[in-house]
Amino acid sequence: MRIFNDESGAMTILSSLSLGVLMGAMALAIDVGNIHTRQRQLQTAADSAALAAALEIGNCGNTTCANMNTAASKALLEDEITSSTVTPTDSQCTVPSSTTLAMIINVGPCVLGTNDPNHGNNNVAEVVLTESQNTFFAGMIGIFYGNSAGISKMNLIARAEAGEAYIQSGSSVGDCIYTKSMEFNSSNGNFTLTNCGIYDGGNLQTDNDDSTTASFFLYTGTWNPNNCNGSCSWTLGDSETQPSHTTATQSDPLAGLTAPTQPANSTTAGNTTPNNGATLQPGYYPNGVNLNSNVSVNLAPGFYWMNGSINVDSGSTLTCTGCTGGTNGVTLYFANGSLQMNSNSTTIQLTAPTVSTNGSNANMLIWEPSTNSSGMTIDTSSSSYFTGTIYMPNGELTLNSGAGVTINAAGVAAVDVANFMVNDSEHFNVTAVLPGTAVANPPKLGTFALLE
Amino acid sequence: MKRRNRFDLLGEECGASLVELALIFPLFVLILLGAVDFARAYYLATEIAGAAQAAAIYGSENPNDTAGMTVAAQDDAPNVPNLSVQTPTYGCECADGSSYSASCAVTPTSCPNSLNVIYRVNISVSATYTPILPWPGMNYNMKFTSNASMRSAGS
Repeated sequence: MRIFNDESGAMTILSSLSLGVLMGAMALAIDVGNIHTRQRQLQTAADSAALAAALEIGNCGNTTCANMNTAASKALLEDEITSSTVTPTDSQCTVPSSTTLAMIINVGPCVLGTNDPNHGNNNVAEVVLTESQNTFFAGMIGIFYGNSAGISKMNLIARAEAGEAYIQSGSSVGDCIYTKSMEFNSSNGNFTLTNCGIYDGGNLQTDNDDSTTASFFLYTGTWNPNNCNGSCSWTLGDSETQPSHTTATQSDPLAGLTAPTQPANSTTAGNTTPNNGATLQPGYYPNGVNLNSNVSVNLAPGFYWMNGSINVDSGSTLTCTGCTGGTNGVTLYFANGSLQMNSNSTTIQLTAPTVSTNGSNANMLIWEPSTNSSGMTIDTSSSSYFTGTIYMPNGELTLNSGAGVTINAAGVAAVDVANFMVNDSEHFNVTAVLPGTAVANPPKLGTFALLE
Repeated sequence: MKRRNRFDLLGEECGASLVELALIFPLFVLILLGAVDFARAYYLATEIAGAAQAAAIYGSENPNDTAGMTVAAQDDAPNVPNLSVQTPTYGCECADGSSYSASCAVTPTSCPNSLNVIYRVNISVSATYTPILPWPGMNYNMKFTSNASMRSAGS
C-alpha cells in the first residue's frame, strides 16, 4: 500500500487534468468567438437583404415576387456573405435548419408571430438568414457528455425587417411635400395638408400671416421667419406649434422609381400649337406643346414624353376627360422643359394613372428626371387640380396663383421637388392617403429603413 | 545525531511537486495566453463587423454622405485604436445589380423586368491585431477586414 503514499508524479496527474480543462476553455473561446463573429456577419447580411427586399415592396404590389427575390439574393452577394446565389423561400413563417446558407422572405413579417409589432404589415419585408455553422471543438467535448455526434454544428439565425419609415418618429404618416428648400415670399400663404406633413431638407423662409395645417412641418437648415416672429398662425396636426427643426435627414423618397422608356412619336406630335377642341394623343413630343390663348385642349389618357415645355397661355384649358382611374390617367414626363402656366386664368385638370404603364409611373402626374432642372410654375385658376405626384428632383416648383390650387382631388398626392417657392397669397391643398387604405398602392413619401 | 549523506538529497522528495509545477507552469501560461489571444482577436473581428454595419446603416439613409459613414464607423468602435475606415463608396444600379454606376454618375435609364433603380453604399473597415505573443508561424500583425454593403432608396 506504499503506492498511496508515494507522491512522485502527483503533479503530472494534476497537470494533465488541469491541462485538459485549460484546453477545453481555449477550445470554447475559439468556438464561441467564431460563432459570434459569423452571427454578426449574418446579421449585417440580413439587414442588407431586408432593405433590398423592402425597396421592391412597391414594385411587387405589397407581396413577395420574383423581383424582390432577385434583389435580396443580389444584396447577399454585394455584402460578400456568400459567393454563390442564394435563392430565397417566400412566405414561410417557421425557420427550418439548413446546412448551407438559406434565406426566407416574408412580406408581412410572421416569424415572431403576433408578438412582432409589424406582424402581418405588408408594408414591411422580413428576411431570415439561417446557416449551420461547424464548430471546431464543441463536437469533441460533446463526446464527454455521451453525445456521440457532439455539438458539431450550431444553427445560426439572423432576422431583419425593413420597410417604410417616416421622418416623424411615431407617426404613421409621410411627407406630402418633400423639398430641399422652401420659401414663402408673400403673406397669407395658406397650406392645408391632410394626413401628411412637410419635410424641408434645407432652409425655410416664411412671411407674415402664412398658415399651415399639417401633421408636421420639419426643416433641417435655418428658419428665417421674416416679419413673422410670433405672429404667424401655425396650425399643426400634432403638438407642435410651429415649424420645428430636425437633425434627422431623409433621402429622396422617390429616387427609387424605375425610369420610363421613351415611346414612339405621338400621332399628334407635329401639332405643337393645337386648336381649340383638339385632343392630343400620348407618345413622344420632340418639341413640346404650346396652348395659345383661349384654347381648350384635351389629353387622351396615356404616357406623354415631352422633350420641351407645355406652355399654357391665358384663358386656356388643359384637361383629361378620359382619366377615369386605373390605367386611364396621364403622366407628363419632361425630359426637357416643364409644364408652364402663364396666367391665373388658365385651367389645368389632370389625373395620373393609378397603375404603372411605363416605368414606375403609377400616381405620377408631372415627372422630371434629375437631369432636367427646369422649374414649373403653377399660375392657374381655383378650379384647377392636379391628381397625382409632382416629382422634380432638380427643379423648382413656384406657386404664383393667388386663387388657390388643389393637388389631389381624389386622394393621392405628393410634391417632391428640389425647391418650393410660394409667391402669392396661396391656397394650397394636399391630401395624402394613409398606407393601406382606399387607394391601391398610394405613393408613400416615407423613406426605406431598417425597422428591426 | 545522524549526519546526512549529501547524496541523500537526491532521494529527497520534499518540494518535488513544486519543481514539477515550475516546469509545467509556463506551459499553462502559454495556453492561457493562447486563449486570451484568440478571444481578443475574435472580439476585434466582431467589433469591426459592427462598425461596418453601423456605417452601412447610416449610409442606407444618407447614401452620398461618405464622410458621415466614416464617422458612424469610428463612433461605433471607439475602443479599437487602429481602426481604419476606407473611404466609403456609393453608386446606383438596377435592383438585380446590373448597370452599376459609381457615385451615381449615370442613373440607369431602364432596368430589366421593371426592377427599381437603387442606391448602394459599400463600406470596408479594417484593423490590425497584434497578438500578445509572437506565435510561431503566425503573422505578427494580423489584419482584420470587414465589408458591408447596404441599399438605399436614394439621396
